[in-house]
Amino acid sequence: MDLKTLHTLLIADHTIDQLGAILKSDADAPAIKTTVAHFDQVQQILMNPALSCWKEGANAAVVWTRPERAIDSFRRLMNHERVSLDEILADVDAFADLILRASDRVEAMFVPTWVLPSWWRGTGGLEMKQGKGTVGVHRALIAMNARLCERLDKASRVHVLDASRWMASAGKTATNHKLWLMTKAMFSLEVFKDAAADIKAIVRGVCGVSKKLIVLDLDDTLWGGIVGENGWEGVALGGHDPIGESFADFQRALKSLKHTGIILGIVSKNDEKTAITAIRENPEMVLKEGDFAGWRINWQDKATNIKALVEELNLGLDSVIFIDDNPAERARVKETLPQVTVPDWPADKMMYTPALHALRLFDRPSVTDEDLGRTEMYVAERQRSESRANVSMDEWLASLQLKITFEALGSGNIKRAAQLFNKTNQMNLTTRRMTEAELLDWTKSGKRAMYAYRVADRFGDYGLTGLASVEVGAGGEAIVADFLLSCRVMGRGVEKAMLTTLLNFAQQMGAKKTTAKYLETKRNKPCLDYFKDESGLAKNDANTEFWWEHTTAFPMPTHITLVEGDGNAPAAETEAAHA
Amino acid sequence: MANKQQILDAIYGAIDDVNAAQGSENQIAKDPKSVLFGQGGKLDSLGLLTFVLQVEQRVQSAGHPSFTLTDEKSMADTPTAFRTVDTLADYVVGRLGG
Repeated sequence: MDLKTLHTLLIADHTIDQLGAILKSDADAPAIKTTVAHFDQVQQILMNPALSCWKEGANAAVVWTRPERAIDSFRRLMNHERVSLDEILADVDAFADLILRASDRVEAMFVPTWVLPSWWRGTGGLEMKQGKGTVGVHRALIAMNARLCERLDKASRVHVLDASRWMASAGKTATNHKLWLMTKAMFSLEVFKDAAADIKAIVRGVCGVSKKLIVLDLDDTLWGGIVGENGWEGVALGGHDPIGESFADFQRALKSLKHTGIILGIVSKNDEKTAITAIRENPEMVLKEGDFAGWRINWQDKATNIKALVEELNLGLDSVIFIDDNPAERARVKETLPQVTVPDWPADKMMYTPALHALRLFDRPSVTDEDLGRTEMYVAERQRSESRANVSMDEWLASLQLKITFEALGSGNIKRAAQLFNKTNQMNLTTRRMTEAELLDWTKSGKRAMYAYRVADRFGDYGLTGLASVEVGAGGEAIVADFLLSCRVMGRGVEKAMLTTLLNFAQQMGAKKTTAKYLETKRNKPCLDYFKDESGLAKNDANTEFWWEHTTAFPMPTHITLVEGDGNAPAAETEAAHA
Repeated sequence: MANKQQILDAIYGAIDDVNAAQGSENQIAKDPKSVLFGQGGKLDSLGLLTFVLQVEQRVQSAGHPSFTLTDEKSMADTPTAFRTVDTLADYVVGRLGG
């Protein structure tokens, strides 16, 4: 899915035009073109791919239904007829199957959970009970939403969105019965605004442009007060006062983001020794030294420090958020590094945690093992750098004990593979963008191979960091369709091991020659440099095509152990880095 | 008794709400002269009804819980009462007995 060509089909049994208008006009990226399908024709539209609404170029869809309309047995339950939960759940299964079938027509489908109007009270105390042969309405609704999620879990392109949060956020005005009677609009503008913001957040995640690194200030950001003046014993953190508690609370919120693969870093104007001592010694610190992938703690300009830290972590500036209590520092970073997201930050320290939660910048379609072990990988990388001092390149490469496992795409690696495929820019030969389903479809032909590469060394496991594919044509010429590698493992011979696997497959399929055609983008010059200067492939004068004639074997680096794995095996736990 | 400025504030709040779904070319200015209904108006029928209900809700929250803008009389008065922000504010004040 491409952020520039988003076109969403809105399918609903209530008036949803205003969601379309907000998706189009809301200032947050991306702008989304919308088409509203015929009102209240949800089942027919999901069932029939021949309908005109599917032929207008939409590459995403929102399917937003009212539970009493989508699930007839639930409508009867709302009328207090005796309906069993089993009957209702069977109807949910049938509705979920419709969604699953229709989801093949788009690259992403968004399904808000079912909710009842904010004024609905039903039968009060009976709402959550289950009696003989029937069930309370709210209890049934909870079970229906859980079942819907469970059934839709199997489709990676379907994203269930929590509408109950939008309702809670809008409060009593989430629905207006008059609005329903007069316009058949079930939800207020507040609900639609929240829904649009969530849809955009997950779209950014699907397209691989969600944020990866939070750079944090220290004084009055991670703790209250100035550590250089008061010492770590004198800062406000934890304890029994609301300010100290709010900083501990904020650190817990950051740590929970770190547990989902978001990286934390520090840029602070402080004495490094004093600040690191505070992090190590203060027993109230929720975030420990090992929770930070890196830091720049000194008296230099923060924008310069952020740039240096981001380079050290091999990330792009556009994947960074900078949080600082000081408006002047924020303004300076905003002006100097416009790619960095610098949110306005509340002056009220007790509002830090809600402000972090409100950012909607970290959404991703899934969390992989590599995401979970990312900070540990950076810590291991620091140790690798230290090991590199005073030895030759060859000695250092040999000492790494590199092991590369290549595997075909399958259920065990597709999530991470798609994530890598859609976010890698620098070491990327052709920069194609495809969803999980499209990647799996592409590999179905026997004349094509697409491999995922897992890289590990004696310091730890980098996880799945490379992806490459080749297609063998009828005339005996093979074309490298994709060749991409995370910056974290570039320059260690991994590229040659990847080429070896592609060339071996091409040769086995009868290819006489394999060609890699470089497609230039604004950011993939490192890939050109590799193919031009280091790959060992022949090249044309324009440096756009690189090839290997299959008359001799391609030289595999001797410092690497290459093994074949199983892409359908459950993803292995990311190994903790070890020195 | 209703103060016209309070009613204007309620109307401006409702304008903020509906502007979110209006697109940049159809934004309604928070100005007494802004046209709401008829020639020069930027709200479609769904937008106008949403706006009316937003104003109603805001006036109710401002201490007039039984106030309505969706009864038969209001609907009949729409062409003149909803012409501009200013005429609407006067109409609401009048209905509240201000």
